[in-house]
Amino acid sequence: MMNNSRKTRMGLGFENKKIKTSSDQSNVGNNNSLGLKRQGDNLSDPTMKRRPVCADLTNALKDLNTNSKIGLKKNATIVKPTVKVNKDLKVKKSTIKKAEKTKISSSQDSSCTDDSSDVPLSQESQSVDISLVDLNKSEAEIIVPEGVDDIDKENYSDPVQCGNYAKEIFKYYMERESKFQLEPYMTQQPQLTSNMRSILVDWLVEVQENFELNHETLYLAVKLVDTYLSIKETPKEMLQLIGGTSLFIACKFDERCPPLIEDFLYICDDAYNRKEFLDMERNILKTIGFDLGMPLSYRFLRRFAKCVRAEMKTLTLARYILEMSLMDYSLISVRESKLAAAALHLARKMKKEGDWNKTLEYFSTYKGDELLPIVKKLNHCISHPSKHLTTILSKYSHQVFHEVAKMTPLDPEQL
Amino acid sequence: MEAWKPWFEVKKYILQPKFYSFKVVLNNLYHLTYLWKGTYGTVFKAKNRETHEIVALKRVRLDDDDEGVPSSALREICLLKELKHTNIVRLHDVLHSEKKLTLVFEYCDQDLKKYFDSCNGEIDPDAVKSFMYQLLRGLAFCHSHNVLHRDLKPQNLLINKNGELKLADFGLARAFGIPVRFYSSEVVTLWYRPPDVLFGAKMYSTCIDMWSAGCIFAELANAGRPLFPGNDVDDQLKRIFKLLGTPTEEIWPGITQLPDYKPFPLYHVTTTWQQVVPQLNGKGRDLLQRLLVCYPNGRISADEGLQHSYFADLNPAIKQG
Repeated sequence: MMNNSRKTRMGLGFENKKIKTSSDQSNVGNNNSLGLKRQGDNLSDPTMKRRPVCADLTNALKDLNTNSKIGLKKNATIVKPTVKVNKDLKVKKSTIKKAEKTKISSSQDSSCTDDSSDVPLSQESQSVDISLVDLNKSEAEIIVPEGVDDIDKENYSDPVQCGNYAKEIFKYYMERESKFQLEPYMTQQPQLTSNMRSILVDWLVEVQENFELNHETLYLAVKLVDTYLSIKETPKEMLQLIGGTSLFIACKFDERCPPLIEDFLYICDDAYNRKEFLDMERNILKTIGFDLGMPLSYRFLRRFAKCVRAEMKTLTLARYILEMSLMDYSLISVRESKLAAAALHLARKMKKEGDWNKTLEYFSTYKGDELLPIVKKLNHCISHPSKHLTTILSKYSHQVFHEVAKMTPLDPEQL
Repeated sequence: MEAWKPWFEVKKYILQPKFYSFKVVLNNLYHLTYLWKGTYGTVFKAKNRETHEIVALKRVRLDDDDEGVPSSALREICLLKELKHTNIVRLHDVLHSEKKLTLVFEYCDQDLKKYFDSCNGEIDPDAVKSFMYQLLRGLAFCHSHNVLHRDLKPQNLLINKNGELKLADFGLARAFGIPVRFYSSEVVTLWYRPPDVLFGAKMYSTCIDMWSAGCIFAELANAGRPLFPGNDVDDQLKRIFKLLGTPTEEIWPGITQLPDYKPFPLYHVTTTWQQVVPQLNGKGRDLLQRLLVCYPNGRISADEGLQHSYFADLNPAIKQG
């Protein structure tokens, strides 16, 4: 069953790609100035085989309005790599919840402190003394203030939600994210522009979709690209290599079955060879000091959405907004948690689901007013999507994503 | 502890062509003796020429035709960079060249397995308590920093001469999200693998490590006799169910829906905990049975375990860590 539904999605993917390819190819004949390279293009013009990327990128920016083909080499038919393990077994949540722990059975008998007790296992386990361990009062527990909904309480013993560790983990993320906060770097990159960066992100989203990668992988890859670019001056012909390699690294870190290096060489349409890829991997890892455990806005979003028990459609809308923010260079220095909070705030405003309440304020650490400037920026992002970089837009126009991209953004006056 | 080989002997070893560049890359680190083979890569003992600090080197060879840095090594490095704690092995440095990747770790004299071998079937109850406490403390740190170890076993717990226990070999570890996703079910060495993962569960969380901790606790208490030394997955489950009773849908909802679930005979509990771990006191047995719970949600967490009264009379010096 799972397999079928996946095939259908893949099918859709292919259709999309086919349409894109044919339009691309019709352009190739009369105009190769824009150079968003896919394999199909190469076939029609073998002389362009080796990396026309950089020349094309520059031109691409001039001609942005005329064509959707921009700077990156792409393979027209990105095929899902390697066999993905099926997304099997969903133990129903309800059944898990139903199963309340039988851990502490209340019994006055405290015989287990007595070493000589020699009762069968099952009996002994019934006579466990509660006083031996106070499960609800671990030292690390963080008590929420009054008026705040303790969102982890109901999941305290549900390992899937990690209720008992969630607060600690997010507190840790909050502390840690400042370590990865970036300064604007474009002024130190003479060859790059924020537009080129958007082109790269759009391509990464396309690859994420086609390889069916986790969203965390995509966010991590974009963060790796930005971190790298904020340290190293980069010629524009290397941009796609950095993007591809960052995604390759992010996959190894997060994916259960990371695609193979061949798959990455293929999606870059062999613009780079294996050695260049591996060299860049080493280069990136060295530059960022192997520090891949970066707190990601995507994870914060899920956490904050839980505060208001946001329904799937609202969460998806917020995810769409957040993903659009990846495209926008001017947002790279905003804290991940703040970006996530702002995306959720905007989504809830669009769906008229109420104000930024006390619980949200407590868990996100941001006040509603504080978020407003970012909310406005995000609203601008989704109100003025690029006409040429449409991957995210079309992705979230799909039914799977509740067609959230079709929702009307807010009037800036209302914000 | 094995005697150190004099430098000239080792040098011969290094000068073999395939080791030559190693010396060059490692600059001020001498490469001394072969230690053991990890999940991936080989581990050596070495001494820093300037600081004279003894370190352990884990070396991974990188071939041109493979996938670059193996994801196991990548994860181990990234996760250990984050996890700085007395009960987690310290990663000092990473040396990364085209041909090899070398991880420089703090050096520990032995692992728990070797410690057991030197015990000759006798172990001090205070040592059991101390090691168990340190294991749980290291685990609690991992779990509260969103890392699952996924390969806890005596071989991966290092012990230094101060009696400090350190979690090592994070080659199978991974960062988890909240809520957790599906992860690989091909994790944890058979004897220490929890029943849910033995049945192919892919959605698991911190409780995966708690089962292993329980198995190790029993092994500690019995001075190195493994609790469930199964031969294969079926045998492993049979041993577990024979001791704890075969779980049913009532006490473990969802068990029958696990990917590799198959029914087992309904074993009834006939062994007492005292027969299982005769050396362990009542409080210790209580902690053990809270760890060894088939139903994953029923297992005690590392944080909670540390609060258990079994540790009430633990030497305060160890508690402060």
